[in-house]
This record gives sequence, structure tokens and C-alpha cells, in this order.
Amino acid sequence: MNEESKIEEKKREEKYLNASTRQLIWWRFKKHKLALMGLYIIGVMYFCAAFCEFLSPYHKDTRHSDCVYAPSTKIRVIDHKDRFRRPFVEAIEPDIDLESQQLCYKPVQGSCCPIRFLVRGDKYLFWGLWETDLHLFGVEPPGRIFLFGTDRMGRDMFSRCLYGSRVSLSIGMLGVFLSLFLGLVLGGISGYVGGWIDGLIQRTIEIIRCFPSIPLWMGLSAAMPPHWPALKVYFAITIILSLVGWTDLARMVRGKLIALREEEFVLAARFAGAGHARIIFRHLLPSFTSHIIVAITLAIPSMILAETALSFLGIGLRPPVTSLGVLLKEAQNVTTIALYPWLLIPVLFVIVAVLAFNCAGDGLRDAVDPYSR
Amino acid sequence: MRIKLGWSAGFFITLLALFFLSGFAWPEVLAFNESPMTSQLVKEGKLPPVDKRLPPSPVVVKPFEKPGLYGGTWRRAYTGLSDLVGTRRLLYDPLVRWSPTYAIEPNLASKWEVSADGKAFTFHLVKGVRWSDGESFTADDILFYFEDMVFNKELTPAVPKWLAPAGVPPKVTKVDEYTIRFEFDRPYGLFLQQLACPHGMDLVSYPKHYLKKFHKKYAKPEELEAMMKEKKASSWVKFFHDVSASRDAVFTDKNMPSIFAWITTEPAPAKRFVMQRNPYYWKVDPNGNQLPYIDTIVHELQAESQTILLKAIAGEIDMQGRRLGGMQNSVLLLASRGQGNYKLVPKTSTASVGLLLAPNLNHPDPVMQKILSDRRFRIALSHAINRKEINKIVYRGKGTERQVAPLKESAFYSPSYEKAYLEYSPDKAKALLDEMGLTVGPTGKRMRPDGQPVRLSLDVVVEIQSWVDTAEILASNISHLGIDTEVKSETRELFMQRVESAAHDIALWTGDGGMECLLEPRWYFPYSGESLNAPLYGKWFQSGGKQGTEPPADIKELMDIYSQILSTVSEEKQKELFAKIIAANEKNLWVIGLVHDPPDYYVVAPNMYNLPKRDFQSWIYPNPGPIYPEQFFFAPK
Repeated sequence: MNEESKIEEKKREEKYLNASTRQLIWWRFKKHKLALMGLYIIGVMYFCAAFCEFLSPYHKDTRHSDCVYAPSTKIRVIDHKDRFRRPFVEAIEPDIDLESQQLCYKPVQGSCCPIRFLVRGDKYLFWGLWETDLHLFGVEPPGRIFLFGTDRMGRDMFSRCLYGSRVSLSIGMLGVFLSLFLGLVLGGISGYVGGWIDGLIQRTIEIIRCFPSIPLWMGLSAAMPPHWPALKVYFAITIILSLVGWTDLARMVRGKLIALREEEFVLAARFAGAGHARIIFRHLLPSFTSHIIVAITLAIPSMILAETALSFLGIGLRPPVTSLGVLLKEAQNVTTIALYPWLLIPVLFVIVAVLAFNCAGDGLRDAVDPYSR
Repeated sequence: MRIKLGWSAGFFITLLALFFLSGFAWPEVLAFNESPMTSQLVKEGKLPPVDKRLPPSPVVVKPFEKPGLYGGTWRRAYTGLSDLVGTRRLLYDPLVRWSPTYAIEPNLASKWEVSADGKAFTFHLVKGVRWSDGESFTADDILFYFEDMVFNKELTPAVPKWLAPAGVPPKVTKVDEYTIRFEFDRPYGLFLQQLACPHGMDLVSYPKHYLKKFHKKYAKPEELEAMMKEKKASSWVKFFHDVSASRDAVFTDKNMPSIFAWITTEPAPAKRFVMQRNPYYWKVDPNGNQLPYIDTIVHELQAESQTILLKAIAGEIDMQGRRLGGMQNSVLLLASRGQGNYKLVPKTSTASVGLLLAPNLNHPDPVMQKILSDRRFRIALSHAINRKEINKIVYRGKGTERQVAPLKESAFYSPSYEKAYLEYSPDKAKALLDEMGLTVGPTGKRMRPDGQPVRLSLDVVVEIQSWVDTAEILASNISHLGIDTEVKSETRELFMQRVESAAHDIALWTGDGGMECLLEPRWYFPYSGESLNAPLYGKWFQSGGKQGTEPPADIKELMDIYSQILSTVSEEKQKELFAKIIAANEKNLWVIGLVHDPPDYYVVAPNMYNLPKRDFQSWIYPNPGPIYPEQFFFAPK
């Protein structure tokens, strides 16, 4: 072994020994390829959800009345004269198949509508701040681009999926933060104070947990006044989901606190005259933040699934709010499965999001304890 | 196993069998034939011969296509007790009935007389009709329904409105065994039509000889007590209702006799609810074959309408329309027709339009009320609606754009009202609104006289997807005029609460009464609380001025005309009067029509025959009852 490699080895070891916990976690996490991929996918999905108005070619409620139940548009590069062109789509026109009486679409011969980037289209209020009509991509008229086809009112499913994932993903996030708040406060009190308060909170948790969750959600959302506006329903659903979801977190926080409150550093802090709040927030919480992050990551997908299930059953969000569950509810019949299978694409979004969260969460769980081998 | 024989062979064999069985004694036996199923029972001595079971001159039903063959099992599906309506509609035998062209024709009453003043109705029943247990059906059974059920204060606290149009029930008298007479205190021009409606079946559904033993008036108290104890009934009234169970008893109780073509052998709500031919059914085909042709009807219990749809597509349903309706199902049924599992028979909705707008003339806000009561506003809305788009999106371009006018097949058809104000022209609409003084304010919204922006909400029930879809299109159409419009989709109960108290701006509902204009006039003038364009005027009319709000003179005039129609017997005169109502509607456009929906379909087995080319779909016309299910038959495959 030569001198150089020895020095390098030493440097690496030094780097390892001097690294902060955060860095160690990240290094460990990076090794987990699946988890890393999950994290990227989550990033992309939330990005899409945040900028959905810009990324989608049409507004979610724009009706294309002569393209009802149109299948997904084919993107082509070779035109009808076998020339190579920049990617384009063909304009379509409705046609009735006389034998089966079905509406089908045939391309208009020779129409060639290139796909353009940064085009002007439907107007929208970006993040509720300013009005614009810029879209990432679109096609020249008379062509129209429906990557995932259209629904019964001729609305673009791709745009609707993007808008829908905004609602579904944000409900997951919001819901988790609400239950995190509840879990931290109640679990914190329970673990730190102990005694009869601990008993009370723990029994409450047990009672909540022994309800089967779907009927409980159903009951709660049935209690929601039916005349509430869409936004209020959205928040109500978030609260309903987190009311059930906080118990796991509270349990975990309590367990950790009980374990940690007898540690020497807590004792030291107490002798140094620190108050309860300082001990909790300055000393105890940071020592298990990583666990909380893991718990959150694993809780989000169940929230997303819960929202989808509720909306699918028709007791969650309602149109005109568009969430993945609402989209799926609209596809809830035999006719859709038989004739318009593209209406089931929102399922893919749900699956991908949940899988990505689970993979990332799994990797995080392994990584939060970087000293274990 | 089904015996597969040509009909002539079957005829011959039956004839021969009967001939030998009867021992050459009764030559008149040759007149009637019966199904092998019942002839077997006759042979075993369990049934009297067919000529003893049929009336001397039975009702003759002319088949749609050709005389049929006996036998076969008619497979259907239902979703439980609440779905028996579908079965009920197969068994349609009131005193007078709707013909397949939706006109009155004789049935259980072979003829009738109406007095010149339109107050007294005398019906002559078919002689010799028997209940399914062999007892005779006579005027006493109808009398029992009236005297012991309808006029019994305990059983029926309030006489149904159709039997007592002005609150006074008729005097019902038995003239002789087969003649019954109704006398009303005022002319009742629609009594025959009312009898042909589904509720007309009540008169013929209660066998006196069977129900007597459950009725307080006839039964021995201690026997009644014992039966009640056995059924754990808390009161006699409840007990009697349970046994007679308003016409469902024939499906849930094997013992309940009926006069219908099929009788229950395995009662609902079983997994397989089975009905078999009524050996005493009183109708024959022109060749003297006792009807029905089909021996058995089996209803299979399904959890859900979607499974019924799948069964229909797989060819596991022989003839059914219920639970297979709606645009979406029709599309799938049409698409899968190529597999050859079924044929489709269209049934046209008798609603004038699939959906209409009912602007509320009784709006609580006086300013809005003034706006909605202005005919120019309603005409402006009609011009603002893009019916072509609605037709394309909701009805796949197969509907007919029209106003809430009587349908072409109806006697009251008016082409000019049908086509009035249909043109899609936002400019015309805007001009009308400007003329009204609803000018565009600085924000681009139209302003009311009091300086507020005009806002509209469209109330629609959330359960029917295509209605909500239509409402969304309407809202965006109307918004283009500068009127903020929102869709308020609510559950049915909530919707009903809101509209019946007249709290809505514009309600959306289906245009009932495109064919049966006189029986269901709610969209031609404020007839009842269900006239959602003026529920309070409607209540005023129904209560004779005791409740609701008094309408203005022009609407009162329509009410007077309708009351005149009710007391008119001549159909010509009725038509003449109703034309006045239509003309007023054309001028005022109280409700705004959209699109008449394309037909739904019956799914019919490829080898089932004797169905008409098309049928109607309605509540009042209980299809497919009027197209004689008893003469449907299966040809050998």
C-alpha cells in the first residue's frame, strides 16, 4: 500500500468521524437506490402539483364539446407524406360507428399541428396571485393534445390529473402536519408529565384506534353539512383524516420521551436550571427529529389513500374540487372499464405517489440511525 | 327440459290430449288450448280443464308479430324488495288500460258508459274472470277495496287524491255481479286516464274472499287476535297493511291471490324469486291459446345495478329495461350488441325534455322575483343556452333540442312552442337584458336596479350525474351574459326542501308530462308544489286558495282553463282548451326546455318475439305492461 492511498484513506476516515449526523444520514440514504428514486419521484410530483396550471395544457374545467371521451392523442414525427417533422399531433373529428352506434374519432387527413412550448392558452390565476395564460406546452390549432384522453365532458384528463394530484398530495401533507401537531403536543404531554394524564391520553388513543377507520371516516364526513362550500369541505376532510392519524405519532413521541427523560443530559439540563419547555424543545425533541421525519413520510401515503378512498365512496371531496379520488369516482362504472379505460389513469398517480413515499420512508428509516452497521 | 315443438304440433298434441281426456264429452273444449304445464296438472286432476278456468268469452290479445309457443323461462334480475316496482310493471291489468300507443282501451272492464254530465261512470266487467285460486272476480272485490279499505278511516286516513279530485270521494255502487258504478260530485274528465295509471291497479289487487279473514269487519275477533299474535303485529291496521301490502303482497306472499298473468311460487326477496303462469289467467290469443305463453319468470337477486348490466351484456337476461337505463348504460349496451347476446328495443321517454330550467316566480327577494318574472329575462336565458353543446356532451348528439312542449306523439303537439326561442344567440340575449335595464356595470357584471350584481344559482340534485354535467354547461353559458352563475348540487331531500319552500333562483328538473299533458300538467301551469317554477302558486291551486300565494291574473286564467278541462268529457273540447294553455306558455316561456333525451333500451333475448318496434318510458304508463308481456314468447333457438 503506497503513501498516497494511505493518506486518502485517513482523510476519508477523518471526514467520516467529523461528519455531522445529518451528513451521515444523507450518505447512508444515498446508498439506498430505491429510496433515492422515491425521493426524486416525490419531488417531481410535488413540483407538478405546485405548478399544475402552468404544466397542464388546458384548464381542468375547459370542455371540448366535440371531443367527448376522446382517447389519448398520439404524438407523431412522421407525417402522411412520410416526411420527418418536429413532434406534432393530428386534429381529430368525431365520427359515429354505425354498427355499434359508438362515438369514435378519426384524424383529419393531412392536418399537422406541431407541439409548441410556452404557448398561450386558457387563462388562469397563478397561485391566486396574477392572471396569466402561459402554458408549458400546447399544440397549434385546430389540433388538441390530450395526453391521457378526455372524460365525459370533453375535459383533458392529463390536466385534470395534475390538478387532482395537487389536491390529493396537499391534503396528505396538510393532514400529516395537523396530526403531527396533535401527536407532538398530546404525546409530549403524555410522555413528559406521566401519571394520570398519561393514562387518560393513552386510553383515549386506544379508544380512537379501535374504531375501524373507514366507518369512522364515513361517520365523520356524513356529519359534515352538505351545503358547505368546496374549500370548507377540503379543510374538513383534512381535519377528519388527521383526527384519526395523530395517534401513531403520539404513541411514538411518548415512547421516545419516556426513554429519553431519564437520560443524563436531561438530568444535567435540569440541574443547570432549565425549564420544562426548554428541556423538551431544546434537548429532547432534537434528539428524535429524525424518527419523526420517518413517521411523517410513512404517514403521508396513508393520508393520500384515505382521501382517495373517501372521495371514491362519494363522501369525501365533491366536484367541482378535483382530487384523484374524485376523478376515480367519475370512472366508477362498468361502461368506463369497458369503453374508456383511460379514465382509470388517476389510479397510476395514486400508486406511484404511495410507492414513492413508502420507498423513501423505508430508506429514511434505515438511514436515521447512521451509527448502526 | 323445455319441450321444443312447432306451435302447430303443440296445438295438435294438446288438442288430442284434451280430446281423449275429456272423453268426447264436451265438444266446446276444442275452443281453448293451454300450456303443457297446466295440461299436465289437469291430467293429474289438480286443476279443472281450461274451459272451466277461462271466462266464457275471454279477452283476446292480438300478438304483435305472430302467435307464440308455450314454455320457456324468462330470466330477469332485481336488487331486492325495493326493486319490485320493475316486476309490478310487468303485471298490468287495471279496469281500463293504456294501449301500446298510449290511448285508453278496455281491459278488465269490457265496456263502460259515462253520463253526459261526466259525473257517473259505469263499468261492465269481463264475466267469469277468476282469481289465481279459482274464485270469481266480481264487482264485490272492487267494492271491498272502496268500502272496507279506502273508506275505512282506520286503514286509509286520507282518500287518495286521484279518487277524490275535489276532496269528495265518489259514491261506489254495485249494479250487479259484473257491473260497478262510480258517481262523483262534479264532472271528472280524467277518470278513465287515472284508472289506467299504475294506481288504477289498486282497484283490482285486493281479493275480498282472501282478505276478509284479516279484516276486522268480517273476521272473528279471537281468530284475528291469534293471527296477529302469530305475526307479532302491534295493531290490526298494521297487520292488515302487512297482509295486503299495497300490491307487493302478490310477490312476497305465495297465498295472496291475484288476477295477473304470473303468480309467485318462490316469494321475493329470495336469491331466486320465481313466478309461474297463472292457470286462471283470463286472456287468450286469437287462436284460443290461453296466455301467457311464457311459463316461468325468474328474478335473480343482484347486489347492484352494475352487475345487472354485466349480466345483460353476457346474455343472461331475457327481457328487462329496469336498471339498464341511462345514457351511459345505453352506450355500453349498443357497443356490445355485436356479440349477438341480445337485441335492443328502444323506449322513448315521455318527458318533454330530459332537463329544464324552472326560474322561480315566487322568489323571496322582491328584486329577484321581479327579474325572474319578466318574460324577457327567461327568453334571454333560453337564447343564451348552447343546446347543441349540451346535446353533444350529455346526449352524444342524439337528443332533440326543444322547449317543454307536448311531444310529437301526443294529441296536444304544438310545433311552434316546441321550437320557440331555441336559437343560440348570446347577442339576442344580451339585447333583451339591456332592454330590461340589467345593464353591464363597471366590473363587467350585470347590475340589478338596486345596484347589486345579478347572481343566479342553479339548483340540481347531485345523484344524477348527467344533470350536474348539464348544470355546469348552463352555468358557463349564462356567465357569458355577465351574470355570475353557480351550480348548487344537493342531495334530493335538501333540494326538495329548498325548492318546495321556493327558496331557489332556478331549479333544474326533468320535463314530466310530454305525453300525458293532462295527467301531469305541472310544467304547463303552476299545478302543484312540484311546479318548481312557482311552487307557492301551485300550492294555492291545490289547496283551493287556502295555502300558498295567490297568482296573478294570467296564471289564474290557466288554472281556470285546466279546471274546465277536468270537467270536460269530450276529448276534442279538452284539446281545444289545452291549446290555450300551450299558447300562453309559448308567449311567456315560464320554464325553459333543453333537450329531449335519446331512448333507453330493453335488453331482449335474440329468440324472444312479439315485442313492438318501440315503447314509451314513463311512470304513468308502466312500461312494459302496456305492450302485453303475456304474449311475449321464446322461439326455439
